[in-house]
Amino acid sequence: MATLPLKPPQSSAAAPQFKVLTPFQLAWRRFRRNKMGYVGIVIVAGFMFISIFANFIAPYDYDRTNLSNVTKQPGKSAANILGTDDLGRDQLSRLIYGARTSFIVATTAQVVSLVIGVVLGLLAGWYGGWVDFVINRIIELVGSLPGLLFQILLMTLLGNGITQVTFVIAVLSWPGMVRLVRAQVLSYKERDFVTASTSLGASTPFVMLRHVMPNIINPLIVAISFGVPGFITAEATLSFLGYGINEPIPSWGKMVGKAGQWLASPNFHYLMTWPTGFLATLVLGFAFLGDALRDALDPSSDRV
Amino acid sequence: MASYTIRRLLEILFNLLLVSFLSFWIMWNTPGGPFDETNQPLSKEAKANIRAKYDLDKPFYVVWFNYVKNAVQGDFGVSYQFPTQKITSLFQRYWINSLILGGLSVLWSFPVGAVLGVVAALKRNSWIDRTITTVSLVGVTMPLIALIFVLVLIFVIQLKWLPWGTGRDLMQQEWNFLVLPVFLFGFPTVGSLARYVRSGMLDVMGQEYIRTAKAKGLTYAKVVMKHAMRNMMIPIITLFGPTLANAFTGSALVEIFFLIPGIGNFFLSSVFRRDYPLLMAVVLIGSAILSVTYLISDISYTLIDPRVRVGGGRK
Repeated sequence: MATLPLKPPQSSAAAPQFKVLTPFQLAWRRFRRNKMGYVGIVIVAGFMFISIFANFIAPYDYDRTNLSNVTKQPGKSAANILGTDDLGRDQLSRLIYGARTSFIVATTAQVVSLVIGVVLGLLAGWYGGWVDFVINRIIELVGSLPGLLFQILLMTLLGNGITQVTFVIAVLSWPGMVRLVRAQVLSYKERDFVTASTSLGASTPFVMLRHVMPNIINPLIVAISFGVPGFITAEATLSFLGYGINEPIPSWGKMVGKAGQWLASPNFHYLMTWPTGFLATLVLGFAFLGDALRDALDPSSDRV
Repeated sequence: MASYTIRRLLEILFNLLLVSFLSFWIMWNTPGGPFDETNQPLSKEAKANIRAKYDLDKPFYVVWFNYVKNAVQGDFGVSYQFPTQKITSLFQRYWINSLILGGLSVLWSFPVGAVLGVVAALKRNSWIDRTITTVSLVGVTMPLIALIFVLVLIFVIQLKWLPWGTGRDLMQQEWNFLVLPVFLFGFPTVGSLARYVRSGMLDVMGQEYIRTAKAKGLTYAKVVMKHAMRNMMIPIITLFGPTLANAFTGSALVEIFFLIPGIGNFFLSSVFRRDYPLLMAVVLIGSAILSVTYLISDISYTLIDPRVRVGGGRK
């Protein structure tokens, strides 16, 4: 034993102390370098909180109209801090419930897009050949449709509503996700650890879930953190144009769009500035969070 | 290369066939129709006559097949809203506005985006870099409706520096009306281009041939211009296609907000009136332009960077 060249250091005091960091700790350390990431986390968490507990936070129901109290200016009465809209509905309550609408639509659409993207990407990358060909044709079909215009066409077919909006923005959104997963699978499927697992008799689903998926989780998380604000924007845009969420469910985009007719009269601007502010804040919060996550989770990214 | 191009063109044609089928099917099944009877109720015979005139009484696949047959010959039919005009002549009228808007946006956004990206990369981790990356992040993610609203509120409503849209053709409007739409249409492109160029530039500047170029005594400017810039063309080409296609379909949002009579705006009013032939034409032409620009950018990659191979060529 004494002849072994590789001996652990005898006294731990003499050797320099290395603290072993888990990948998560490393990622967290990189995340903390980006101060905007904190801002992003706070904004996103805050909006998540008010959307989950909207029933308790909002002073009124989002659909309670009061025609004797319409277009009240913000700050004029304690009952409606942010004023009321043209039907006398409390703007603050509608903004809070609007956060809920945004989150429901965006997260559902993101889950749908993620599932389609991961499944098709795994299939295309792993099997190649005609499977890859067919999936690529579908990607090309969806990718060549003129985005917003085609979404509007679909909305006229399906009619306005929260389910319809979610479906329409999700169904055209997954090609990027497929490309991402497919490229990752292609780069991993020839690696030695995958070959080793396959030659030991592992089934394809096992190899995919156990060996390929864990390696593509990080880029997926980054893609999601940029995908969710994209869906929030898409919903707001459709609702703004009148092809989105139906009344009386509040949506920030719809609130801006409805108030747009009074753009020329400064007295009504509060009906646009507040939903615009909420929308922009949440989306930017997600963007800062996503940027910090990219720095943290993707070691090859340029920001060191 | 020739065989690759031909194969891609065939794929594009097949894809367009699918697009036409899909959009045709959607419109065929959309509730409501172009002939509103609330104001002028029609007799049964008159209605049947109109339906027969526009082929609406035949089965779906027959109408679709006829449509494709005519569209291949450049005949997109007659608009329901303007029964006296061919779709193609309507297009020429609205197209020009979208093209002016899109063209001017490309003209300012590409140089500015590329320069910002290069500057950010060269001044890496300085306050300049941080400012540029933050601004471009805002450009990429900020919802256009929020951006439009804020800028209109400040410059048009409050400061009254810029005029409001009159709904006329762009050629007949004051030049300063264009400032905001052109800025807004180009801003997202500036953001994404700056980000792509920056990360591409950082990638290139770490390469060994750059060190070689520096070592043999080239000036800094020459290293950047001669050796690094060529690699910067890749993201520019990547973004150029979609942006160009966007210039065709027009940013519907910008056009609506500023009352610009472009394709996007026209499309939205046609959706409202269920003008199927016109909608079909916009979707199909938009889709064709997008596909072709993708093909052109794929081919340009190989011209710029000999390492890129297309069509699965063997090394």
